[in-house]
Amino acid sequence: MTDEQIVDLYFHREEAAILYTTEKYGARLRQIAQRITQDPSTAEECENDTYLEVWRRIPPTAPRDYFPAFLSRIVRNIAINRCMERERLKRKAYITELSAELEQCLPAKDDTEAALEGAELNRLISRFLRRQTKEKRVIFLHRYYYLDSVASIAKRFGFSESKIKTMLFRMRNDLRTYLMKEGYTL
Amino acid sequence: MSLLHDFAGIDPNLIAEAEQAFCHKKKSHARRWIALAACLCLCICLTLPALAAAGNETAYTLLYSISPQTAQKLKPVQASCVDNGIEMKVEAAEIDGEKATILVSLRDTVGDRLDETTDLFDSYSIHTPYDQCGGCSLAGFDADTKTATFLLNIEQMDHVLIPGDKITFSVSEILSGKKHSEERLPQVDMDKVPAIEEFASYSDIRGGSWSDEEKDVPLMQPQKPAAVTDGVTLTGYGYADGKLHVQLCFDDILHTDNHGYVYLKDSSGETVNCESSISFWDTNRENSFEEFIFPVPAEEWSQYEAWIAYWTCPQGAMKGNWQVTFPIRE
Repeated sequence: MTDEQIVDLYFHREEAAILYTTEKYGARLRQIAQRITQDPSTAEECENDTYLEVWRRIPPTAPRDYFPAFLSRIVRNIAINRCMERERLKRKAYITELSAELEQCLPAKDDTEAALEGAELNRLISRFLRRQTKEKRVIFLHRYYYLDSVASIAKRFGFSESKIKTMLFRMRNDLRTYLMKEGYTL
Repeated sequence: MSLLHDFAGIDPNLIAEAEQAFCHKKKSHARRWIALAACLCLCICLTLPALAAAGNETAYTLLYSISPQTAQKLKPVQASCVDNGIEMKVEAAEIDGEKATILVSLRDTVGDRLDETTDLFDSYSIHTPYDQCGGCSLAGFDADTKTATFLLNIEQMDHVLIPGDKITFSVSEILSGKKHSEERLPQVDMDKVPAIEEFASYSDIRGGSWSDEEKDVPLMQPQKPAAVTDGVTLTGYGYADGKLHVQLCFDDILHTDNHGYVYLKDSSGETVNCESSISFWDTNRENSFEEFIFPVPAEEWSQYEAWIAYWTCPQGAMKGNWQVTFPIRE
């Protein structure tokens, strides 16, 4: 079944939409949540919460052309929230650490002016990433979108951990310089 | 943490690219052969529609109308439990390689609380010894026996289920008596749309959908509520920055699954969905406000009527602890 057909089922309030979403993307959603929460039962919970949230958002949202990204964005946010809410997952420190890394190159949220320009900021980050090699941007996103550990990224890409750390450090610096040139105060 | 949340707004194509780079997974051919062998064994064993032979004609008839092939393969399980006057019974199951199909029925033993709108409110869990993903959908409702039947589909990730493995299916909440309607919102006077004068800043955003440009759009302060139906109120409408805003409040959403959306309809029946919507909690995190924003120019407003589609469950969810564990048999 195509994404468009699945989204149409949501529009018709057919519960089969969730079934087909589960069949097609359930494993991937759980994988994303598992990578962020590092806890299988919480990951399963995040996956189920994602279906509920998707059910509530469609309609009116019609993500026919970007359904997988739409799902992954929802499950990611739910998983991050779970990590911050549940001390037992012991992921709060890790997520705080990642946020601290990003603070080096992104304007802080409490900067009202910067917050108002959040949409523009996303566009600039996307543009910055498109200018990188595919390998670099994929590694960057694995670290800051999927919140993967340096060790797991290194293993997956066959690099040493120090190489990954260096690559990320340079990219953060490059992103910082790029954003400053675009008028951001960091 | 907010920085990480913000980071989610970048180009979906880049995210997809990164995800594809991650998803290179080889499947074991040996496991496929095991799956095929298990499937073959089951097919040979099941020369008769075993579920029908076990005496569960209702479930068999219902399932046969949906999928004759699956119905004939199902093997009776008949494991059940009762809580809060509702009996949950695993009627039958079928394993076909990496896929398992399970037929579960819910029957009200003390009243008429179940109906054709019954659903499990996303409160079900499926546990098997291995990593799996699964879904559950209502297959039908039999008014004579007050029985709602659900079909579970489970797909194993890396291991096939084999005889001796156990599956646990549990449910903690059941919704029924749900109401759905699509109707005009007469309270929204499209000829006299007021300017929004009071805006609010909400930190407890529950979700929503918006384009990058809409992310920081101001939201209106809830005004004097006007009831739409039990559990749904219109809490305001107006315009800001040339855009039409309509705000609803859904009561007690965690226990009722009340939800819905607003759209515009013109005299020819053409509809316009909102450009973005944002939902946020009330102070008790009980009710959800949802604001729908339409980019329709002011001079066109009078051509439209505001409509609402909603789903409510006035009596809320039935709670209980229904859990059945059953083994996979040869």
